Amino acid sequence: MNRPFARGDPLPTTLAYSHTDKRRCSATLGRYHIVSASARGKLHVSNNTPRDDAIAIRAEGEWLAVAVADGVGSRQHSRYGAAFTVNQLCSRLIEAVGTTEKESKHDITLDAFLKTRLDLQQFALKSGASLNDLACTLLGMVLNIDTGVLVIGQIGDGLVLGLTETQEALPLIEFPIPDELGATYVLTQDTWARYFRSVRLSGDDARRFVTFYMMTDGVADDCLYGPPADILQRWANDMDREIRLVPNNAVTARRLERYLATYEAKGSFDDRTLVVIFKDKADRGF
Amino acid sequence: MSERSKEKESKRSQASQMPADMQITVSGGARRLPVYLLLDTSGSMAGAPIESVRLGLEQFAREVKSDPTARDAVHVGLITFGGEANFVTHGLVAFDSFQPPSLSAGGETPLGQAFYLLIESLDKDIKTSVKGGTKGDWKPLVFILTDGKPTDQWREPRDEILKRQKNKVLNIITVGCGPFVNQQNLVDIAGNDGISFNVGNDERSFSQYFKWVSQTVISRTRTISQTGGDNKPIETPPPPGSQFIP
Repeated sequence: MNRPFARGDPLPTTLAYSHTDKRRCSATLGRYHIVSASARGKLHVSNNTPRDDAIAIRAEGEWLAVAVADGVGSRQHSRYGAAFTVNQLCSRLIEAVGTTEKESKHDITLDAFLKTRLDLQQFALKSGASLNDLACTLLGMVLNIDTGVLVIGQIGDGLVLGLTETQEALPLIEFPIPDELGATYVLTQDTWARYFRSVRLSGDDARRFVTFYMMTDGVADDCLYGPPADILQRWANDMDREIRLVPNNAVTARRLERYLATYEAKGSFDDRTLVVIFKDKADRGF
Repeated sequence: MSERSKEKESKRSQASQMPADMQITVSGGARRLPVYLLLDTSGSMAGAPIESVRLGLEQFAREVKSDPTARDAVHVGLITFGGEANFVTHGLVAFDSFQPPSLSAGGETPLGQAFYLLIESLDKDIKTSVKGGTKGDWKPLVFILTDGKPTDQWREPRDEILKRQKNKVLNIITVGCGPFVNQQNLVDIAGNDGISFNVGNDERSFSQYFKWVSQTVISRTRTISQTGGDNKPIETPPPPGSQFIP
């Protein structure tokens, strides 16, 4: 019987909560290992402003929920929006999978995102902030560790990636890019549902993946665009190798946190957040 | 030692020995911030004003090069318009390669021609992101320094540029210089979403103007790196002694 757990940035209850400069966490659930980290970007370090990214992981029974969010830098309280939504989304996803069976599991993520947004509105009201002040992107997934069923939802930029046992890296969800240069969609905009995307993988479809990655734009930008032309494949395989190097998840999370805080890439100044979920490569079945 | 103790000891030992840093391939590309400078070099700028513009350009180059964030991101396109319009840099150039040219003033004010050169460059030189390809550019900044008295057909190319500003694919700032600035023209050139202000035409005014351009560009390279940062309006206050035109 798997014990429930919660990891990551805590749920803020007021706007006085202290959002740390970095965060790392790790866990094991059944055959799956979860390693994650979030680090303040160079721009925030040089401006002496807080990290705007957030991360949450939650497990209950055979279900694992993971979420990452990136607060809009120009909004006053966006880091609270990010920390609040990742926690609420994980809770709402776990709650949704525990309710009556729906015909299509696609409903799970849309419902969960909708409820998370409503929760955020309540938080804004209670805190005396406007919803726009809490603007953030939001990515979330829920995985059944017994059947392998995986459901993913996304609003705004970032990336959810799978690495197959044949070492092929595949984006798992296509998200719309705004026409306006440099813009992104956020959960707090009125038209968010129009730009929300979700995808469901059956256990059979998900079986071929040995590793899943979920990341905010600060990391996605450095692995989606070249040079080199095969940057995504290289990045995913390099990360998979490094994540498996030390058979100790806590040590690996520390390495990942240090990596995210220090790696150099031209023009890469944003906060960096990455969750890696992987199973032993010898493990083929469920 | 029991098996369990040995296992605990092994884990503790592993925890205390951190392996070398992760070696991960990351992108070698960077997003560019295109900065276009359209400078009036017509007859009305002859003498001290054009020399001040030249010095101001050198100052701009020095200040942006001294900022590591801006130096890597900014790519400059310099267009002069006096007699005829000339794309001095022949497109966008990396800031490291940017050398301020010597300038001379003369002739009429072909702002329309300058706009056509700008439009051609926006179409040809601005990159959009291609997944699996290269990173796209940030929203270009366009600074136009003029006395606001163009002498050719400028409204049609201006309308084309304003359409792009309305689609939020660039930011336009017009600056008037000289004693006979046509303020209405400046506002018309910048459009409803642009910014216009007036500076004097002495050396100090030009120096302050180019300092302001440097600060705006450097500040922009910082804000655009944040999520949604490219949507932030330009917040650098106009240069001291300048007059904002509503």
